[in-house]
Amino acid sequence: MSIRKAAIRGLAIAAVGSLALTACSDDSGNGDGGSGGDGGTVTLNMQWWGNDDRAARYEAAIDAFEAANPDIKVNTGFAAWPDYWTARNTEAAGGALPDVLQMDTSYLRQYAGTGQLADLTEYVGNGLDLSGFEESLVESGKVDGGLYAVATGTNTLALFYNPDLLAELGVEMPEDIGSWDEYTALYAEIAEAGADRDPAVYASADHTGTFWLFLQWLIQQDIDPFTEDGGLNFTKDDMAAWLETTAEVREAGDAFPIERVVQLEPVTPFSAVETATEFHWDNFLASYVGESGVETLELMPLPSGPDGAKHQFFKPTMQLAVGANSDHPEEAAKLIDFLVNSPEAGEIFGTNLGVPSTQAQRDALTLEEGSVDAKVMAYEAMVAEQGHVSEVAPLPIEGFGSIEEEYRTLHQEFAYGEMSVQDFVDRWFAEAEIHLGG
Amino acid sequence: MTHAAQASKAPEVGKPARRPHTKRPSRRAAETRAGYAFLTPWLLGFLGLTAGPMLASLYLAFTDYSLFRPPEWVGLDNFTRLFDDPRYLNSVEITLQYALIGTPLKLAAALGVAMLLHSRRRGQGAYRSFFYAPSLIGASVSIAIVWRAMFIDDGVVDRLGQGVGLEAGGWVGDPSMTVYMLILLTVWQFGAPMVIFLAGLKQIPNELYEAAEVDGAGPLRKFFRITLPMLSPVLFFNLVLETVHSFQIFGSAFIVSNGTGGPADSTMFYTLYLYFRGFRDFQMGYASAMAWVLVLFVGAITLFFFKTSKYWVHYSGEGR
Repeated sequence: MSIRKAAIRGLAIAAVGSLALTACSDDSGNGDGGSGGDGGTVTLNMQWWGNDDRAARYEAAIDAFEAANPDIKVNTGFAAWPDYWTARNTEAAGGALPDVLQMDTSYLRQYAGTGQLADLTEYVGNGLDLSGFEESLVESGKVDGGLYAVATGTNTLALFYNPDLLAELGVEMPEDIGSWDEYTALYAEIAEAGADRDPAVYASADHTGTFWLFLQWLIQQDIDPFTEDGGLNFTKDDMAAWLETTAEVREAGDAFPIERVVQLEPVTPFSAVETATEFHWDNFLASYVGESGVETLELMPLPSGPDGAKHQFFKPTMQLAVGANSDHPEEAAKLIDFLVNSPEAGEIFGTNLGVPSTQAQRDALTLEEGSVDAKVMAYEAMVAEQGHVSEVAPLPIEGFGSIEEEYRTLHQEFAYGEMSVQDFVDRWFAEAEIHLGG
Repeated sequence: MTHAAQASKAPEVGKPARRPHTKRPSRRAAETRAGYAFLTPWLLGFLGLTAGPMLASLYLAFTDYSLFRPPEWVGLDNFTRLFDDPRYLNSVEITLQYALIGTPLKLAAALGVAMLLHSRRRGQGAYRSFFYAPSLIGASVSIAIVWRAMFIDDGVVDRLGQGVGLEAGGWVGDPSMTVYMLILLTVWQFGAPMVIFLAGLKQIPNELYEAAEVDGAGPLRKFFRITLPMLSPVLFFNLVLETVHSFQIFGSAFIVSNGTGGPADSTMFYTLYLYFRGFRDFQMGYASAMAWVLVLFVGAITLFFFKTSKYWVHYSGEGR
């Protein structure tokens, strides 16, 4: 009896105590904003991934937005890519996503398909102007008929190379690479020329480890990677064939050693000026130049497919979305509109968020001859003009982020020589089945 | 009648004597009440932040829960899948390797240093702080980063190796060496068990050593016949604590591998894999199942230690 009474009294005290605590937190919560508004001002919370350079640009752009919209205040925060997604995933589970968040195609379906994002269709032409967008780019933000994300810009795959390093090695880069075999032949040539240097220079780490490059290669073989309902549209044999394209390189030891790749992380071998080439998205030129300190890096189109064409595609570099739980979707849409349309924001960001989606922003860029922005813009204009970009980006299926990561991890083990091609393919398909079936 | 009256009187005589008895429970009740009142903050935290989530995760372990969709009951599927998952089995293997090699080494280092510090000499306090320092900073992110830098190509360790003619290269890129790198990191953080050993050593009466010396016992004999048996309760405590602790390795592995568990899954320890499955792949049900298997396993190991302790742990005063 007395114990029960004691327990009840204890609980009562605790309840009062916790009330007092929540009262406190409520006060302070209203004090510094959250998404509550008073006196007509609305506070938006915005989150994005990136580094310090991008942070400075976002800060400047948000300042400009707040100056133009005195009744809206924007709080921002950022993290590196993996931490960013861990935080967003937990928020999504609790229905507490930021008002505006940076989104990626590999996660779009996961978020939009499960009702985490607000449908922006009603704001199009009504605060959110998409008239300057290519139709296919608008499409890339749609899931099941609703518009859930707006692309900040575009990118496409490219082959980066270091002309100075190649000149020192006495290796000449072909004007155009007509086939994957032609590219693969460079491994032996550069490995031989760079063997005496310290550290030794290679052509590249085994490029079959990049999942996107595999998808690009599939498209060149006239295979759509994914089905409409979010399944795989390629076979184990397709993946094995792709991995076999560099079998000789691996046997000869002409690829950049995986032990060293791991040690250089998070910088890539190309950034460390220990390889002469590397495949990546074209907007990575800025970070390559920044990390390597080599201003003269160049980029060129991918090797051609069997029919002699490149079959490249433009993909949204990144996207902006609004959390379904946002109290101020209208203001959030307004912020997105500003970031993708205003020439002011365009000038601030340059190609940091990809080559801008709209002509108005592209025109606003101040391009210095030979600058990073100028090179990336020129590359995208060239691949579009020459017809190298002829495909649409693969459908962003649910679970893409996981199967891509699975591919990367398995390929690392594979590169250590601990796994056969067949084991690799079997294990990846077993995992993909779990990721995509669930 | 008189008998009955006497009989009924008898308890009355006893009554005054019992009064304090009836009073004492009420004072105890007041104390109990106060005790609970003081406990409430912790109790609420325990129920809300530990017990509640644990029960929830027990439920989730039997479901397919993607974090974005409501959980679906799948029975034992998550548990059976564990045994077909090569990554999971690999994580079990390296975690066991880490615990089985790391814990004894760490305890040996702790005991060794504790014995050195036990002897009286000047500046003793400074030495103790000095040896404890790694444990204070060892769990921090910066140390894991420094550790990584020490073990890369041409890092401190590689250069030392080259000095003695080893051309092994950095450990960071070598999947067969990364576990040892992390074992070294944990062994280096021997401060906490060291302090406990030191306290234990101080409890051993000096007469025992004096008597042994009179009987002509050497240092080795003294160590095995006096120090170890007398320290066994402390050793037991440290063993249980450090074993449980080593199964929970996460932070250092996460940082040394740049948050990947690589190279080639060689630092994909149990808890790291659990985290990736849950928060990267959204397989919360599967991750919960992994968590419960770990809880049961660590529980079983602890139970095993307790059961076997009677054969090797000697409490003073016992058996005399």
